[in-house]
Amino acid sequence: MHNFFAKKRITAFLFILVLVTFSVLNIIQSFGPIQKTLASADFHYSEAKELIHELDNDINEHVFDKFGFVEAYGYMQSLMWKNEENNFEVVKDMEGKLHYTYFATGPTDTKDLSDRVAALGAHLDPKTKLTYVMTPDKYVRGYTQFPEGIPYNYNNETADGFLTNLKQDGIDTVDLREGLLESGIPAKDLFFTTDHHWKIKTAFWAFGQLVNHLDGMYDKPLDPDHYFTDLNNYNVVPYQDIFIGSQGRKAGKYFAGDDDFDLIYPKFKTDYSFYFKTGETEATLNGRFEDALLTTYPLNVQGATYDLTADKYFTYLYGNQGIVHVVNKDKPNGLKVLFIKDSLAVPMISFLSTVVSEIYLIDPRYYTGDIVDFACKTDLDHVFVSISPQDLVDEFFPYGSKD
Amino acid sequence: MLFSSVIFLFYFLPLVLGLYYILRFSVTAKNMLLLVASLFFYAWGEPWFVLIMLASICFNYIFALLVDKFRERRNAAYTIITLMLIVNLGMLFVFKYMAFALRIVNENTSFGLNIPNIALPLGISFFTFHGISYVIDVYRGHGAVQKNLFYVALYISFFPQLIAGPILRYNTIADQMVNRKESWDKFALGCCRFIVGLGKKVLLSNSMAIVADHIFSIGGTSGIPASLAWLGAIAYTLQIYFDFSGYSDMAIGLALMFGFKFEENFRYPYISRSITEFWRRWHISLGTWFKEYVYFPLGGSRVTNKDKMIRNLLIVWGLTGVWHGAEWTFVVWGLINFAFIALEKISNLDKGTRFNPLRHLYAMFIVVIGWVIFRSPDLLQAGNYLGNMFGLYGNGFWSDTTWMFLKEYALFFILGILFCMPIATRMNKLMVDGARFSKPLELVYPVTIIVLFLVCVSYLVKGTYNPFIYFNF
Repeated sequence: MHNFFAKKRITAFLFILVLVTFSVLNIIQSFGPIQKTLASADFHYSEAKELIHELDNDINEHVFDKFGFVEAYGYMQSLMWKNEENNFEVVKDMEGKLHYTYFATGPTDTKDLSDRVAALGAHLDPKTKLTYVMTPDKYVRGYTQFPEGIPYNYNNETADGFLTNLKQDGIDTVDLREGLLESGIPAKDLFFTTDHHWKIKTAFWAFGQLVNHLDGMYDKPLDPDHYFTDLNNYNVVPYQDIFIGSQGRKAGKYFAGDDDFDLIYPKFKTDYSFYFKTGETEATLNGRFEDALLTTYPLNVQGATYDLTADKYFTYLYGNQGIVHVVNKDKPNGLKVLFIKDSLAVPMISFLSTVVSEIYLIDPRYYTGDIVDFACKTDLDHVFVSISPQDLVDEFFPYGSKD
Repeated sequence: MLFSSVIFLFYFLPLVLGLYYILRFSVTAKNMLLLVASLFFYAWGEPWFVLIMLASICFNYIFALLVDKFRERRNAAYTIITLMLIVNLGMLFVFKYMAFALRIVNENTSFGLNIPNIALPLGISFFTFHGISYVIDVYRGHGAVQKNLFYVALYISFFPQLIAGPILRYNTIADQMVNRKESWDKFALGCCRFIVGLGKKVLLSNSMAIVADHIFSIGGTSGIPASLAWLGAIAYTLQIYFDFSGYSDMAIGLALMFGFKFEENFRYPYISRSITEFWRRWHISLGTWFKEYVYFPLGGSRVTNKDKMIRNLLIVWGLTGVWHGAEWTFVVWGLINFAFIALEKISNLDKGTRFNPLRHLYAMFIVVIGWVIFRSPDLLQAGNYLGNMFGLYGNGFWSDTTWMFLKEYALFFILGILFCMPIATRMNKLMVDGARFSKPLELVYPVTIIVLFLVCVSYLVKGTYNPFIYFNF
């Protein structure tokens, strides 16, 4: 019996040691955020639940060495040879790439959403063309394979149905999923392993495809000498093992691995003006492509691997902003275009800026104005809507609704 | 606030423990601290509902004073007890059962009554039963009436048992509130028990919940292969056991840390060989409560004929079913338990020792079928799911999804099934007896438990799936 209590006593001593140590470290870590929440709190009983919720968030978000624990969790998942983690938050395909998925029995009906795009087209000035650019899903048909039984979300089939509806409504479409496997980029390098976005080289290829598509629509080709769409005219700076994307951040690098990141920017001379506004934050930058349209902060940030500010994908155009206006000062007489887009299109649009005069970007999630109104009142040659298959949901189409 | 949360583990618990042992010199001070901590614990999740619990505390305090005063005047005492039951059960009815009752009325009449959307106060079934237990035990003379409201409040709201039990009968705790003794051994036992409970909840129950929730979400409304339906049923069987027994372990462990001793609530129910035995091992405090306050007052099994015993059983199991939630599924689940317990009593099946493996299979079969009904949102979906389990809809037997869940959760299924059996108890016994391999086990034990705690913390910090299944209770 003595032995029985001896081991329990040792355990209790260790437990208290761990508990007190972590408690002190956690209190230090979350003290600032808690203080801030309390300082701005409305101390009415009716607001108590909201305040508790905020304090809970502060505490959960500011755990001491949070990502150390996340990595430990991810390591345990990999030790168990798991292909999914935390209730299918992300799953691994056969080559270890991470995917968002969910249990679905078939494609989602998106008729209402395609009708909204058609309604947008009906509002535009007759001289303004409308094109839907369908960017590819990370689940590349004909290549990606999930382990047996891992659920598939039917994103591609949903996108098929959406494009079919658009075509029936007479809307011009570009399906960048077509020809993806013949792009010359190895299929394994089309998308990041740890992020849901395509790699920058894939986005550059997509830029070329888009230019080809537009060439048939205007009198003058956008890139008659195939100069701007030639990757040889761009610097490609490789960064090895530097990127842990949004999916990788869910379970840490021991489960997800990490990615290389290629920074691509023109070798040729460029001159831009770049303006962005999200909420109350706005700024204007001028200069070359790499000075105005790129921020290298995510590539240089130290010791914050899992921080959103370290997301390398946001190197281009400062990520997702409510509204962006890019002026290519070297092409004063080129096309003026608007993109209503999600994050996948951002690097592709950056490269497109080399062949057009002006580009506006609107992110439906963060833009607070009326998108149709903006498109009608702005002098535009072309409006593109580019929402990727996984984002074919209400949030990305806040216009043209029948309701 | 949940035990399995960062705020509880690293803010609430260390603070309350620290203050408690600073105040060790005074029982009153310690109890006051525990009361304030308990109210804070409850209010953290439900700032409004704490008022309902306080109301319950106040009127049960008054009822107990009255019943104590009029104990000798039988009619007056009965009237007070009846009033107490009307108030307690009336409150429970309003919050928990009224919407269900109105729905039944609407389904069977053309009244078209408006069904109010009333949120269920967390743990209302637990604190209501505590209140009833207090007044009845005072009436029976099984515990002294508390002149001080503060002790009634502590008994009803003591945070370790507040939202998920075990249900403490007043007579088992009354003395401990004023005469308990803390010791390092008690504290050490409590710590280990708490961590084991946390592990059961965070690792085993929550992992099984992922499997069960996905399969039940499709198996109740559409056709799924039989193997997948069975896997979902088994996953839920493991989930509910490790969730409930994990919470009970944490509650018992926490109580020990504060010098209290709660009675056991689970004793490996899945090794039972009959439904009767299962209920002697499952949620023991609820079974005991119904036995003490419903079954025995009705006459129990010591009645003149078996018809009355069956009637008593029917009442108890009907109530047990309804206690778990306001839905027909719970009623049917209770009645299934009643039917098999009655059958076993009549046939003396629960007393036999032959054909143990077969009897074990029988008991687990009924338990699993019962859990399917219990887990389903309504009887229609329960029927559909059971149909899937027995291949009634021609969806085949095997599927890739079954394999995927088995492969992804293999370790949790294996550990879950192993720890349903008294392996840990046997190992403890080996160590106590000083068996041959006890030395290495003793050395490994503290490391294992602390690693288990850190693994749980990593799951909690990561924010893994952490469902709370006591919303109905």
